[in-house]
Amino acid sequence: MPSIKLSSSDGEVFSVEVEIAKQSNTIKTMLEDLGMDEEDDEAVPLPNVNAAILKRVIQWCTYHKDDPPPPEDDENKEKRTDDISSWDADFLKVDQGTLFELILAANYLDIKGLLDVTCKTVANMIKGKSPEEIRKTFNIKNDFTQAEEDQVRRENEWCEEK
Amino acid sequence: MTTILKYLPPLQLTHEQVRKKILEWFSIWPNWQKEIVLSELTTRCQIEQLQSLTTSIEPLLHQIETIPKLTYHKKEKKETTDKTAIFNKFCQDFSKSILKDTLQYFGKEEKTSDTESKNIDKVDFIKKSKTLQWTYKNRKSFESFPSPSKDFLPERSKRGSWKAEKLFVKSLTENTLDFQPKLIAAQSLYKPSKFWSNNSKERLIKADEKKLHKHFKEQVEQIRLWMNTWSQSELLSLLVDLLKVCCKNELILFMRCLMERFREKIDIDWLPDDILLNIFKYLDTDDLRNCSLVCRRWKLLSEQNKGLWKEVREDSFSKLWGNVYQLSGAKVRIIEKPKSRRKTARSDTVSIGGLSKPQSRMSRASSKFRSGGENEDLSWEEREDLKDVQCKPLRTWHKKEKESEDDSALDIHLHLMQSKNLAQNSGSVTQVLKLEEVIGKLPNVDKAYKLQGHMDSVNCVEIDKKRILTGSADRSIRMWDSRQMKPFYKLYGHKGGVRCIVTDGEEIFTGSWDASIMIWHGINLTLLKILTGHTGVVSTMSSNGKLLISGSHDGTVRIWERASDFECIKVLPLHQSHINALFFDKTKLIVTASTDKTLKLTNIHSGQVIKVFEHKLVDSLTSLKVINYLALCGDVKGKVAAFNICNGRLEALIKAHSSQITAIDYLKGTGTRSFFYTASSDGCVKEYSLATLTCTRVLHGHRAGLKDLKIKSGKMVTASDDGTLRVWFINI
Repeated sequence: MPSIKLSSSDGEVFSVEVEIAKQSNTIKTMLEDLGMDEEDDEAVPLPNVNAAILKRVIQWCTYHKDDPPPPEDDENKEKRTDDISSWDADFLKVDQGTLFELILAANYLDIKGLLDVTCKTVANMIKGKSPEEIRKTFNIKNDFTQAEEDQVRRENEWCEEK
Repeated sequence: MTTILKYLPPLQLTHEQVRKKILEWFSIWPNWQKEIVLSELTTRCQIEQLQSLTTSIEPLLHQIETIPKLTYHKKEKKETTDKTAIFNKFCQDFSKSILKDTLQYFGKEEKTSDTESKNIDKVDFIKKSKTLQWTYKNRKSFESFPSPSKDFLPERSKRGSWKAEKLFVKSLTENTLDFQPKLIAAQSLYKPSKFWSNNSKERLIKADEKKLHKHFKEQVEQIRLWMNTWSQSELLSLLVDLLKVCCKNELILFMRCLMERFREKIDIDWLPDDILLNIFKYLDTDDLRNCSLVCRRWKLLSEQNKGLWKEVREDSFSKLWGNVYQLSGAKVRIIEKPKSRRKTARSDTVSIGGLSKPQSRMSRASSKFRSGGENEDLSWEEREDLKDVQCKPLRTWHKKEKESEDDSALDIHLHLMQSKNLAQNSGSVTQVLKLEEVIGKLPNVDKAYKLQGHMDSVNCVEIDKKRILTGSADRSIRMWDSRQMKPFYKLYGHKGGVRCIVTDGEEIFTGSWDASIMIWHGINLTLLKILTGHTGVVSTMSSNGKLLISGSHDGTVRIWERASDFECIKVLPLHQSHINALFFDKTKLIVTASTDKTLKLTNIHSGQVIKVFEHKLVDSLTSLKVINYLALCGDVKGKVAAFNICNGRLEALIKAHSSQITAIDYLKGTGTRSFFYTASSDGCVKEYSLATLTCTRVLHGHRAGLKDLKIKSGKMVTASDDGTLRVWFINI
């Protein structure tokens, strides 16, 4: 199996099978555009991803290498968040910082499957929470003035479900 | 150096000038020096601002990553061309600063100057700043000074500063940019006389490392001083500028600094907008609403998401159905009532405030009714009187209505008259609604929308969490976004008009004149199954998620089981004539209303009819609503009958409309504030207080008879023969 080398932002080099690495559209285009050969010894630099995260991303990609390509976004489809596989759920049992780093890495590397599943995880963290709870969960500062907050509440009122 | 600073007047440098200067220095420093300043700057910037950099840096990084690769084989060549380019650039820059110095030195006091000016001989500088006063004009002339042309360059440097040459030589011989073209040094050493004389001999001297380092130290100190006084945004803009002139190695280092900073504090705020939007896509209205209350950024984003949602829906709608839609010439008009009309209920209260007289009459009238129990009504005169006063605030609306013609959707009259209970035997209605009880307690109709699109009468309505589903005689099923009040989908399939529609969230069931039931996927809206079996119009359905109960004009009720992929598990021949409405308690009991003038309570599991409700005054039943133990049903003559399910008694019977009542729905409130609404083919909706059976309002608007009415989540939707829907926002 041909493999390529990926080097993380902190200089660690990982050797990954090409097929696995190609789940990342970024790497895929890089390989295609640059005409990199498999025997090329040079590592593909990934300056946005550190070693710890890259290791996890590779772990995810390895597990999901036989998955069919994710379907194109069907906008008519209601988005579900309860279809996270148990392996993914376990995989994503990490602290928030790591989760967000994974999202960023997935975004940078353009791995749709990983991005979807991580975003769903975050969406699940938001679901069913009050604004105050959301702020607490994600450590967000409330930057509304009281007047603004009332205004938003009023604006939202009309779509209130009872 | 510092001693000189003491004597200098406080420097009034603009940020722009300082930035230019730092950039100038920076572009010619060796790597390690650049890195020091970069990391210092990075630590000074606030993390929020650095976040914004990650996106702006991306193209730069991309360049770094790709360009060297692409030109891999031309590496050698490239290097040399690079060098020359850098060299040329350096010459230009350098000669510019020389020009600057020259100008300064020749008596034009330059406040724009910075470190350079400090290095000019102290006495000289002070003397000059005292004697020469034309600062402003000259700064202008200096700024507009033409940058030296290429031909001009070598000559100038040759003649001018040996220092410059020294630097050129260094850069050439060592083939790197690792030199220190310190202008401070250059200025402190060169002599003006030499500068202008042609006799100066070319001399090449190697830069003194120690000196260079010392100067660098001074520069950094100066930069620090400046930075202390700067605002965050200024720091950031400098950082961006510096990064623009950085090479690969510095950038990588910078990214590492950045990542380290972020690691301490990586949270959801750090995610870029498009990712947050992606996350928001998985949320429904309720959660989005909560999100918009979290903080400003989330508010903006969630609003954008609403927009996205709308756009997407509209897109797919126009793609799929646009052509059909256009051909049909159907139009959707959304009418939002002008503000004055929105507060209808409130304006009622205002006007009624002064109505002591009619009020007393009112109670007199009701007491008359109560005591007499006769068919005695208010005298014509009295009634006119009442109407007159009560309609006063409405008159202005009527005028407006004429202007906006048939767009009006809201029209409320207050008729506070208890209906006669035709069911004399019961006498259970003892309460009388007094006017003061109603004032301010009526459900507010906040907004009213008119939705147009169907090409024939709309037969049925169902309200979903986000959608309004309608079935029409034009054989189509339409979906409307109940937040935007816009259509977004249309389903075809039935061979006859759609008579009834229900959804349990996962599936949408439609019953049709063609005697079939179609099951549609609730989300991707594909046709899942067609159920056949009924021999007449499928007029009513109900589902509890496990069972689907359908009633038909063939007089039977069929029970379909989801577990067996909607096999018909039971057929109950309950009525001799059409079944027009049914109620399912979601467990085992159903109530069916039929044209054969009876109402039947049936256990669906045993198929046994538990009770039959009928009354000689009750005509063919067309609509039904069960509220706890009270079954409200409307008949073809416009009467509403209230049967007690427990004891089978007719609790009340009132004449509500002049013609057939097609639908009844109920709005729960407390005490006298529970209301039921009747829709009739006479084209209006009446609002009744349940406890007192008093008509509190009449809602006009439709041009033709009403077919259906549903109330859910603060919305009342009415469907009419005129092919329109109206959505009334009701708050209690």
